[in-house]
Amino acid sequence: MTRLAAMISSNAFADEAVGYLPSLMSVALRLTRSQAESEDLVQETFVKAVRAEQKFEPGTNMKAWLLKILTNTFINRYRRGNLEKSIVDGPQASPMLDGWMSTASMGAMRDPESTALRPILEKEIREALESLPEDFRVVVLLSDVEEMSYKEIAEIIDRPIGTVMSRLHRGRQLLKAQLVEHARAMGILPDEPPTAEATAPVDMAAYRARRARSA
Amino acid sequence: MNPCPRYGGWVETYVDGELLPEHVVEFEDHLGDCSHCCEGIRFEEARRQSTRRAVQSAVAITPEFQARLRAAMDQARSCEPEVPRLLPRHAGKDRGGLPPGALGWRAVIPLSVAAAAAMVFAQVQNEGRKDAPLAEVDMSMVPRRVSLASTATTDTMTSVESFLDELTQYYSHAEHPFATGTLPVAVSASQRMPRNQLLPEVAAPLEAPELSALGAVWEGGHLRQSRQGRTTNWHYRVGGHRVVVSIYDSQRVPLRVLLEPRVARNKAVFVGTRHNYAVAAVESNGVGLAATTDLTPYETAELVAAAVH
Repeated sequence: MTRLAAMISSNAFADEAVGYLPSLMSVALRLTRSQAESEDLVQETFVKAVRAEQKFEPGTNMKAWLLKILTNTFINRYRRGNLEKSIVDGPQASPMLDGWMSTASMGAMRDPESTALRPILEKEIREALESLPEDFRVVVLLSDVEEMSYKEIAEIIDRPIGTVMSRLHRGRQLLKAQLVEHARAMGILPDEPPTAEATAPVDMAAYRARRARSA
Repeated sequence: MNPCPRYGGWVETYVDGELLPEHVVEFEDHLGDCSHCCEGIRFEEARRQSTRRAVQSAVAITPEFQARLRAAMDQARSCEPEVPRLLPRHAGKDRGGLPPGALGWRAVIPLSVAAAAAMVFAQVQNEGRKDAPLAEVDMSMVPRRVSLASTATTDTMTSVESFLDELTQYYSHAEHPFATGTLPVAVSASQRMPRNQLLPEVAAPLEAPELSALGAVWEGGHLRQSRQGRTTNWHYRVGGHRVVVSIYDSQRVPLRVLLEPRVARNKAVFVGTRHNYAVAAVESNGVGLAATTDLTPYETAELVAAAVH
């Protein structure tokens, strides 16, 4: 390849990469919670991508490749310490959370007629996302926003698919819980008595066993 | 209604499209009898849609950030160790310990063009003072911003048409800058100078760059006077292709009025073809930089954009 062709090829790579800027920015913004930091994170990601251009295999998923660089950069730059600390050990681990949302509640929450409330709910959704622990936030963003497969997410975060599924489930449950709480506060949802399952004594042994399986 | 005890945990995986094929049939069969799972699917789909909308609507990508990003990427590319560095050649002189003349393609044209641009700018500034010496190189005169085309008069359009014809006819006829032969009629006088005479002529500290390490050859420079003003033409041969880079007065002949605006390397470049040759130009502060080649318009636009900092 002549140097001219190599130069043009390199520009084509950069042009394709920059085409994914909106996706990278939306993920970076939710990870860093700061416009300025998200721009720095994205810029660092693209610089690394350009320097590692030779490692990218043409024809493969460039978006996933870039998100992997971004995620790793975020983890290395912004987080230190034990990343494997089990988030489900914290107060957000609620064994009562699973499966107590009624059919009527779900229908009311997703009511498309509530357009007047949409901007408020979008703000709440963003805040709910940002309040998620980072491990959950990353996978929820990659799945729900960027529509990546479990396999792609597993490759990006360098974890087994089972871990991806577990974090997705926990992250979404936490999101749901926050949104339901907000919907009740706004009167979108009536207070409803908990189900029989929710009021039954919690079987901690079963809960711990379930958690150990999903981790 | 109590949640579905058996299939409730499949809802998310089903909406994710990750349910095992053998489970999909079973689950979809179940949906016919379970309003809770049906509502769960609708809720999950609505929640994801809301989440996507909430996240993507908040993203703000400013033009300043895009420009900063492009600059950072260009800088990262230019810092790659395999890209040779530009070293000016001092004919017959010791290199002072500098490595052999490996050159960065992106640096070669800017060096020569910067000096030539300064010369043309000085020419414009000294209009009417024909005896005044040309100014030395002023790097601040190197084009940095380009303004888009504005309304042009018929006379201007005619001049630009003629100038485009000149560029391409010059390209097609001037196989060698020192070739003899008939020049276009519009050219009233021309000066063909050997390389070692260029220095006093351009009054700039110009050293001819050595391109042999790139497999490219600098074939010379050519000052040409025509009705459209004075033009400097730098000749290169890269990868078997001739490239002529022309520095001209873009206030007198704004090529942008006839060429198509495009974006290359985050810069506004004006591109077109004439007589089967590609012409791409960047114009700023009255100085125009045009590349005429037998490459594609896209490649020519990339070349001229790379030449402008």
